[in-house]
Amino acid sequence: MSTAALRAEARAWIAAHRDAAVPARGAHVPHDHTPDEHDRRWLDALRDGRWLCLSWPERYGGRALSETEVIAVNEEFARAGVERPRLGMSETLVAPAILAHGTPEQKDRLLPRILSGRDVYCQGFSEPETGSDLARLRTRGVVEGGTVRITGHKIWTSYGRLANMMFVLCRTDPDAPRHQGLSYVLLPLDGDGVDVRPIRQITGGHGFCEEFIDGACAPLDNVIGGLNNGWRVAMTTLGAERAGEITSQYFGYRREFDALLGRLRSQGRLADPGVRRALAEAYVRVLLMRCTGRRAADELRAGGDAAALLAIDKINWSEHHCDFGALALDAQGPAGLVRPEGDGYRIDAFQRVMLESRGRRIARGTNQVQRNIIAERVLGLPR
Amino acid sequence: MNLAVTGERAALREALRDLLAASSPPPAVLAAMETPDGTDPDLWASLTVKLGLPGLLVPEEHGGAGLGMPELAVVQEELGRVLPCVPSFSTAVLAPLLLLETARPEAHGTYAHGTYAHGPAGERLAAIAAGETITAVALGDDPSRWGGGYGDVTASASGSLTGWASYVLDGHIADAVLVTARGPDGRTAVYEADAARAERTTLPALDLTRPMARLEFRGTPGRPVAAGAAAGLARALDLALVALGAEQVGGAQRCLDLSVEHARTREQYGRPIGSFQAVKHLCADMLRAVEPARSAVRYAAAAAAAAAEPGGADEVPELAALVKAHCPEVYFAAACEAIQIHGALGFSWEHELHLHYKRAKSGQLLFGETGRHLDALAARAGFGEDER
Ligand SMILES: Cc1cc2nc3c(=O)[nH]c(=O)nc-3n(C[C@H](O)[C@H](O)[C@H](O)COP(=O)(O)OP(=O)(O)OC[C@H]3O[C@@H](n4cnc5c(N)ncnc54)[C@H](O)[C@@H]3O)c2cc1C
Repeated sequence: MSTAALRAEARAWIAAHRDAAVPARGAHVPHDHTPDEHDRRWLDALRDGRWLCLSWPERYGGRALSETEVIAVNEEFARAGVERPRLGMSETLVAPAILAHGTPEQKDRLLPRILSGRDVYCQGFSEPETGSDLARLRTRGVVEGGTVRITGHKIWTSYGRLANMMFVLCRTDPDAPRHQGLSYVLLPLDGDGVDVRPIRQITGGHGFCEEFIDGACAPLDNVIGGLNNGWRVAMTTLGAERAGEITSQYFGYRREFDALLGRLRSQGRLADPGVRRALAEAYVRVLLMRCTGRRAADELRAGGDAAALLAIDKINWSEHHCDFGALALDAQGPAGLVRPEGDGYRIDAFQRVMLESRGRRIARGTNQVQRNIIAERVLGLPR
Repeated sequence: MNLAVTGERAALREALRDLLAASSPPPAVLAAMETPDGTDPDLWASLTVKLGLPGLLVPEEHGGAGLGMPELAVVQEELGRVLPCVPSFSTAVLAPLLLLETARPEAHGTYAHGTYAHGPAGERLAAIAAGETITAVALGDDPSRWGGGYGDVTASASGSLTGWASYVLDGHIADAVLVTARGPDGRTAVYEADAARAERTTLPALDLTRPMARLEFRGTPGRPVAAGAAAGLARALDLALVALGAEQVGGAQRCLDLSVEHARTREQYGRPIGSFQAVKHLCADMLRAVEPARSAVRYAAAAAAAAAEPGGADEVPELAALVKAHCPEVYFAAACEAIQIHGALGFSWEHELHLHYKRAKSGQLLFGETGRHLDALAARAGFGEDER
């Protein structure tokens, strides 16, 4: 199907289902967001319309779309101002690992459960002692007959309280060199030996958890890519980033910017030339996202090299978001001092950006580690 | 609209890069910029003869290549890497843009790409394409949004010009000058004058690769090229800002390339300095600044080409403000960090980095400083408040 036909199909489908649609939010769904009835119904509609897991082979319920085509679909949803939710890390991280490294049996068994929403995954990589230097992780996996018995402590697992499965990186060969003794295991969280505890975050919400794992069992069939091959599997999925969103992410940042303009105008704050200057600087960054997204999409379509553009993307949007969040409060002056009325630690959308943006500068490889990666892999500087 | 450089544009880039590598290596630039005229006439001749550089934007019917902003951006990026001492920004960029935008038939797209120009403008374009002239642009009717200071020229009914214009790029070697002036009707008009008939002073420029002059007009005869030209002038200058931005991206990329090369090979403490994180992170930050700046320039150039078609929406004013508010900052920061990474070598006259440092600063100051363009961007995006 041509990209134009695909776009037309998406537009027509969105128009026909607009009433059920969840309106697009800001640049990111709140980290502690719990899907409600509306979200669930919209997800069901998208599933029926085959607008989930677009890049998967058709055999597993996808459309086998290329990066360029996924970009086109995301643009149509973003332009229409409606969410096209992903199935969380199940879709963005686990499924690419299964597709790249799984056996045919694993694909047939696991992918349909992801698409139907029966399995919801969280990522069990980080540990109290192991963050950036992931290869030193300590959680142990011991093979006993047909199972892997896992013991250890995982932490900062986003959406842990919504998940029934965790993709765990654990050490199955303690004698091998650091990167070689790890396995990538899909562990059910509802069995014995797993204690999931929410952790309260900077926002007051509970977007991530920690897990005390004491001899919990996963079937050996749930090891992806073979025993002791987990590092390679983990690295492919850490690479499976947001190329599909390279053009559509702009819309979310733009909506947030426009919302801030609206708020400041109603507060009379735009009369201040200093505020306008600072806003113009933020607006520059938002427009740059649009230009770079478009260019990356064009490079991908031309079969050119978009590696540098994709490598710098995460630092650039996350740094923008930190600066934007700070600006959003500064520009409001004393009005930024006060949260909305209500129980608990309620925050408004801009206070949320100011607080949550810090986390995205740390998660998925801190921006310092990202700089190392850019310098070494894109620019070729020595380790 | 395609922001990837492929096909003929890529070929143009390679041809220009090869020519400049052979004919304008850093020692040649350093030598040429300190000659009395600060130019390399042989290099200009070979860019003219071999690549038809001055005629790039000139429509085919006036003898040029009839190319548009995307191609110009490719060329400018290459020139920005090397900073060759040639009068291209005046003759191949400013003058053709001004002629095309102010003296063109109506009823076309917003920008003049591909259309012919009337009368004297057409003749001047033909002379440019033929490589017969160095034509400067004197902004004697000051675009006030840049805060003034570029000139003040009025024209009488007979076309005689009175006043002054400064920071006229290549004005010291130009044979012809296009002067924007207040015409007898009080509106902006464009005149062509014999540059030798103005009183010229070569200015001691901070940036020796961007020589400039001050011109005094005392009844200098001017040939009318376009009347009622304010809107055309504004369009031409917006496009010129995009061209300038492309050059700045090329310069910033050169600073990054030199830094990476030096960081790989220079050793201290028994290891390449590029293995130190402080150096790595500077390089990574340069890359993550340069690439989006390049995207902005390509987007703006593509938007200009799109708006040259009938009915195309005009995003150029906003994008030109974006480019001018951002690219000079990226270039200057890249030049600063490149000097730092090179240590004392980067502080020496023999090394090319000071050329970029100075060019980056001149690019920040020329045609409106960064803050003015941030304000322009705000106004164009609808939050300029009192400017609206
Ligand atoms: C919002 C959020 C969600 C998260 N979700 C998950 C999840 O779902 N699953 C999961 O497994 N983990 C998750 N994490 C954890 C995340 O992956 C880690 O926080 C991250 O890898 C950094 O590890 P750390 O926090 O232990 O910091 P450390 O690695 O201890 O780093 C501390 C500081 O040292 C710097 N540093 C460390 N090494 C280097 C180096 N080589 N060069 C330069 N600087 C360095 C870092 O940049 C940082 O500034 C999440 C984190 C956050 C904030």
